[in-house]
Amino acid sequence: MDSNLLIAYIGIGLMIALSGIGSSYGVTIAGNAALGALKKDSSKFGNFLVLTALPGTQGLYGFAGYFMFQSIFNILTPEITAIQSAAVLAAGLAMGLVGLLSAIRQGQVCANGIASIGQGHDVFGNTLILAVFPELYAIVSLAAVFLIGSAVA
Amino acid sequence: MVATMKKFNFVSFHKEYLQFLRDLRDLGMVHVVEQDNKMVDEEQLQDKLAALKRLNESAKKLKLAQDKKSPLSPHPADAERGMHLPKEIEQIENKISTLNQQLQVSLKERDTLRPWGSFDPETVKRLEEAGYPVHFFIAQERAYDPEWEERYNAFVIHREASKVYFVAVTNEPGLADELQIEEMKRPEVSLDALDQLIHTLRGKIATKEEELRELSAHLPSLEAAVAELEADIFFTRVAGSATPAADNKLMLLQGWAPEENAGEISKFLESKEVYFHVSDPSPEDDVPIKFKNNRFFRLFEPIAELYMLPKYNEIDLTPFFAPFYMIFFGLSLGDIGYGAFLLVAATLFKLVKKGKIAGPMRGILALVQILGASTMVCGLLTGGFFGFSIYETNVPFFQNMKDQVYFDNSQMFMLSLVLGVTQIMFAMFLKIINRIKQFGFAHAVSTIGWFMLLASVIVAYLFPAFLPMTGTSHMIVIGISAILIFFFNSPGKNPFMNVGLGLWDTYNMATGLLGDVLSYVRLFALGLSGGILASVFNSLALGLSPSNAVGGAVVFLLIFLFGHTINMFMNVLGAFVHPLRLTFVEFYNNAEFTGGGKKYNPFKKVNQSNN
Repeated sequence: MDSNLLIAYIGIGLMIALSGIGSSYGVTIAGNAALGALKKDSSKFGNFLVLTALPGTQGLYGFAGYFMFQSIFNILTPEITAIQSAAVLAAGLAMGLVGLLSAIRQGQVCANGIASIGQGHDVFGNTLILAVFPELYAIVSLAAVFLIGSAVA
Repeated sequence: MVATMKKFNFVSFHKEYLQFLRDLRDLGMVHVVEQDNKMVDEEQLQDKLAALKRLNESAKKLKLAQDKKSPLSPHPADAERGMHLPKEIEQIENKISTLNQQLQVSLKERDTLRPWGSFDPETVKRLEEAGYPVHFFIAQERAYDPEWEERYNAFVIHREASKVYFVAVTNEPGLADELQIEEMKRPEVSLDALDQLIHTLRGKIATKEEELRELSAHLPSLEAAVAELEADIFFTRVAGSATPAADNKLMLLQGWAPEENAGEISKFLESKEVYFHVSDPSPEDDVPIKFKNNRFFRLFEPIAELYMLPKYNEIDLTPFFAPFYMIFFGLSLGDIGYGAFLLVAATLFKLVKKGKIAGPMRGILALVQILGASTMVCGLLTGGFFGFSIYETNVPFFQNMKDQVYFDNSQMFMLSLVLGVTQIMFAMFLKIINRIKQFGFAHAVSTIGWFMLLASVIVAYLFPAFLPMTGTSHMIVIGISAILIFFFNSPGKNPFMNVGLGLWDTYNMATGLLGDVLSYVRLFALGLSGGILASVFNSLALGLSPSNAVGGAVVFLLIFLFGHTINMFMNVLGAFVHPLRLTFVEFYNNAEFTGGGKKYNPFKKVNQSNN
């Protein structure tokens, strides 16, 4: 049914868009901080690069979620049932919202770490550790998307 | 394990005090209790710290000045020479900055002179003296009037960017104001001379920079100077840690050393001019902590140090979390290929850099090898290999293995929880031992009650035939546990207080344990999502690569390498951090780890190796 497919694609759109937006915000927040901190210590660009890249993964998760429905579960077809489309929408909302907010928050953790490193506190390792915590919930969401997908495919 | 320590109290005559400290430093085994302090000559220490900062900054500058492509062969380290380097560097830098200023001024001047071309100002001056004053004017193109050539003997020299540069040979004063154009002062030097000057300045700057680069060969000296100064600061601090007594005639100092070294230290000190007394630590002492683990568990000590060192009378949990950490890392990464990559990379690095790797780095590499191997083993459960599943191939060997070890998603989920329950029960068991060791058996009774209760529920769940859930025998166990939990949780307090605390404990356990166990789900989630992303990259690489043989292979390889590099980095990071959290939050809390010990840091010369 076409309307089922429509609902499913709304879910896919939300999943890719929200997590992508989150990652863009996250890396921008960290990137801005990195540019400021470079003025104080330009030798730490390598550290800043790694920390800035960390919030970039949520966008990837959103894309991976889409990819799973498209290629692994193969349910984005006109034959999709109402339940399947509802599942795709739910999975998309979960992944999208968690990706959006966790990436922004992770970006803030990274930005603070970058600012500290710029001021001469060697907290690269600590920031790396702390920044991975918000990421976990995006990972859990991706795992949930996979489980939802396998349940309805 | 935490090494047993002995307390040393030293009494030294003030005149022999410094000599005694030097002896103590040469011995390099005693951790001196530093006091934040009254006696330390603040000013002297401040000067040294400032000098140290300067040395470190100089080292940074020299590293920048170094030619990375063809580094100079370094001079042998000479700390004395190193101490003078900051001054030399500053002199060179000042010189460079003066030269640079001159260069900027000259460059600016050249820009103003350039449109006029090269001429000798002397000739113009002579013309002037002969009664033909030459004025230099700049006018806008549209303001320029060709009539001026007649009226004022104007000659156009140059036209550029809608400006006309011209000279006028005239005696008329105030021409610039009259025509409302810009007049330029007669230049002092010719363009050629200026170019020459700029060239010379640049040459001088290059020479100075070359000097700086040559100085970078003295980096070892600078590093030696840093080490010496740091040792000096350490010495000053330690020297200031003594308590003077008897009109400053005697210096009292306290130190710690591992029991195994106590004999050697005593023997050494007996030949010196010092009185000392060796004793066992008392409970209120703040004893420095030295780990004493076997070769395998020692590898996990850096992980334990990330959090906190145990207190002296506490159990060191390193050997107890190490096996769990190993398995958790393996499950979180969960890809045979990634594990193999870690193992091979660390091994190759060890082989290539053989002998050049410093002590701590060697341990870390060994740890990476172990974690990589563990990942390979845990990866067999799900069968992921760089995102491909080995159990989906038609190789009979793998199909056979699949029947033996393959775990599907729900089984992996259960496995995570089971590991969680196991680790938490183990932590609780350690808590009992810890309490008995620290406070005596009476304080461990309620924990034993909890342990019995939880263990009986687990046994009843797993073996209903042996111990039926809430059957008579199970009820008896629960009853005994409840008595222990509610009436023996804090010896010495009245029974009502005990019951109240028991209820509070029950609330904490009910909420805490559930959250703790569920937290282990992260192991499953990390492993699963890492595998999904890896397989997504594989599908992308296969799907996007064009069908022609060469282009297809190149695109496939590019996407494959790029994707797996990112994925491996993120997953290794996650697999390192999340088991860390499980260890420090779930495991340490349930084992009632307090921590806060100071690290054993013997007073020694910097280059002396740790005993």
